[in-house]
Amino acid sequence: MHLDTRLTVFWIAHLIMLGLWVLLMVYLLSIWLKSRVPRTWASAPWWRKLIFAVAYVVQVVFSCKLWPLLKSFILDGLLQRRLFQKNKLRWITHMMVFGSFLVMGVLSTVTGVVVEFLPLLGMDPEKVARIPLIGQLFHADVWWVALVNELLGLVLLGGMMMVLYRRFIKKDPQLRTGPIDNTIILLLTLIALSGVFTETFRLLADFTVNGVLAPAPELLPLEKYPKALYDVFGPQWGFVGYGLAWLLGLARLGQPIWNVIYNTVFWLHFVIVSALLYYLPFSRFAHVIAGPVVVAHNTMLDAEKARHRQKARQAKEAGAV
Amino acid sequence: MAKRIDLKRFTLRQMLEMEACTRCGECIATCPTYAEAKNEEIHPLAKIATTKDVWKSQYLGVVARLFGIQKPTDEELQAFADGVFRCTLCARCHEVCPVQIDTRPLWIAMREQLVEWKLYPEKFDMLRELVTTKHNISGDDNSNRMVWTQNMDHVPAGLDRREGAETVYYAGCVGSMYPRVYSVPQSLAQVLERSGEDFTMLGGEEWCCGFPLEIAGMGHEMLALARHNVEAVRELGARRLVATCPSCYHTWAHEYPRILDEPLGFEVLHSTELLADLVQEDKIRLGRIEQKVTYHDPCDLGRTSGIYDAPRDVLKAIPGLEFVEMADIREMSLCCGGGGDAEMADAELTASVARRRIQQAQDTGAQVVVSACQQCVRTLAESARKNKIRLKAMDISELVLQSMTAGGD
Repeated sequence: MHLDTRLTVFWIAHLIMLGLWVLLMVYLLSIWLKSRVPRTWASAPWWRKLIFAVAYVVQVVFSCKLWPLLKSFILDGLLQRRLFQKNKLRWITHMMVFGSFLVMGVLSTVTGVVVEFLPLLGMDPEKVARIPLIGQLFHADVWWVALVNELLGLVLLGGMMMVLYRRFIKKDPQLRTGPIDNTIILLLTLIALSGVFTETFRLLADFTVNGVLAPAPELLPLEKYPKALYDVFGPQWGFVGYGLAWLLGLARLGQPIWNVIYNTVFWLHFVIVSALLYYLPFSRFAHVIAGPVVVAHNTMLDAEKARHRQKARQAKEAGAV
Repeated sequence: MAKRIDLKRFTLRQMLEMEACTRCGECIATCPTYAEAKNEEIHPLAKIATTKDVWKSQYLGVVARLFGIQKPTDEELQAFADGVFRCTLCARCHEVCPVQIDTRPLWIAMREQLVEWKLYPEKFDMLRELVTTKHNISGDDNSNRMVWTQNMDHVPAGLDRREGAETVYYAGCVGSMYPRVYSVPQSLAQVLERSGEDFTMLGGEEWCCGFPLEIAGMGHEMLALARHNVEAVRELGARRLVATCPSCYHTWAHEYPRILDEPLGFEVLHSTELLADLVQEDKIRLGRIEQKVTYHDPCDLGRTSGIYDAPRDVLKAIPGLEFVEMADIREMSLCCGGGGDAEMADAELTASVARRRIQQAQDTGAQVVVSACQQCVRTLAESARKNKIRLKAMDISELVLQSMTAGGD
């Protein structure tokens, strides 16, 4: 069986990094839990507070509050209803960055399952590739996978351009830009750019024949690109990456050189993504995790308060009648 | 000595809220004190960022330094404290926050920490001393609580601690002790009497509700006040309590049950709610007033307690009255500058905030700016006087009494 060393190292490194990140988050949680948690004493140990916090969440989930909570999580947390009502352009910018990241995150997770997890369980790549809906995610050169990834990358880049414009050119007076903002903006922009170049150099590394870019599925081993996907082969649908690859291909470098460049850019991309992941809980980007939860919870509480007031008013009116 | 933050001052919800801050700056654009002071330490975003820096640098040590989080210096902490105590706690920032951070309790938690660090305005010591020993914010003998009745032509009977009365009217420190707004309790007492309400007051047993201490970050001193006040009402056997001061109302209705961890056993109303009921039940006859008026939403009545319609319903019920709204109303109402004990920290700043609001009132072309809070009335009247704006500030109960008198009631 063909062993892709690069991919194996990637997954090992990735899982170790993720594991460490989870440990870091647990440590951070233990500090958050030094605060007060309702219904338990202020100086209770953190695990006790965690139990009470989880109990509260479970209680909300199994109550009539779940629907308003979910509704607010989606409308206010994920779709940013308030921002939409306030300023359409800012909403579009936010959704371009957040939405594309979210969709790419979901796609990457599903892809990880399809490419790594299922074969690891002993499933034949041919069979994996034939799984309805998600099977074709087995390779990024399937035309629609290439197109979707390309579009998402471009949307993210476009969003970042708008962020840069608003913050550094238009200089919206309500914005405060410090190192904490610059670091995040830099990381996000680098992720978007390095993503495009990673794809470009992958194409060159995979499909350079006698110094010429000539994509064909047969160039890839069957474990990597199963026959079931031959009909949907179409790397050119990732038009920016493909166009760049074509352009750079004019340099007529050999496949081994492209391979070295590709590996370098790939790991660079990996390091930047990891840096963002690690910086996340210590930066303004923590709002990506905390924001939707907090807005859903607070909107639910506000709605609850309003409902109580309404009920009290109605009860009073009924009493007066 | 290094100042260590005590995270027990904050709730888990508040910790998450601080993490959820997107640094979008909506709060900066809407903060009335920042609009006047243009001071970077004063706006909500800065307060949250500094608090996070303090606890992260303290609890995460090397990890924090690795990610560029610096521990604030003593000078930076002092500047932070100045910003926190110059906030009027109007909670306008909550209304525009895309993640709906419940800002007001968060600012109060920060104040509690700053009080522990002894980084608070000196005047707050005097406030604490007065409220805990004299039981009011003016420092007068508390037995003078009913001094406002002295220049009334007719004092309603049974005002002082009459047992069995259905309603207790709680006038609050400002209404009881500050001559400029004596007219507020005087008016409401007359309205209640003329409408046939069975009411009394606590007299010298009316202690400060504790709100000024709570918002100063000294909330732990409130318990004795809460116990005394609630017991005093219970002893009279009243069915409900009415407050003209929105801050007192909020404290009675929302803070006391929390602090005492038990239901009060009687209903708590703001005077505007009672007035709206009396109007609706035709218990008061309103006469014609040919005036153009506008209404200022007190922060503690509107944003904090959710009462917006009752005062407007009352105003709209007065015949002949032309009611016009200001530019910023209801949830987005501008603060008058009189809240949050900020006047004690920076009177010049709060005067600027008041000027902006009185200007908005003037822009409507109204002759009178009505509010439902004696502190707002006091602040707005003072601002109109200082800025030579021909606009009268009055409490809604004064206007209702005026209307009742015009109607021959």
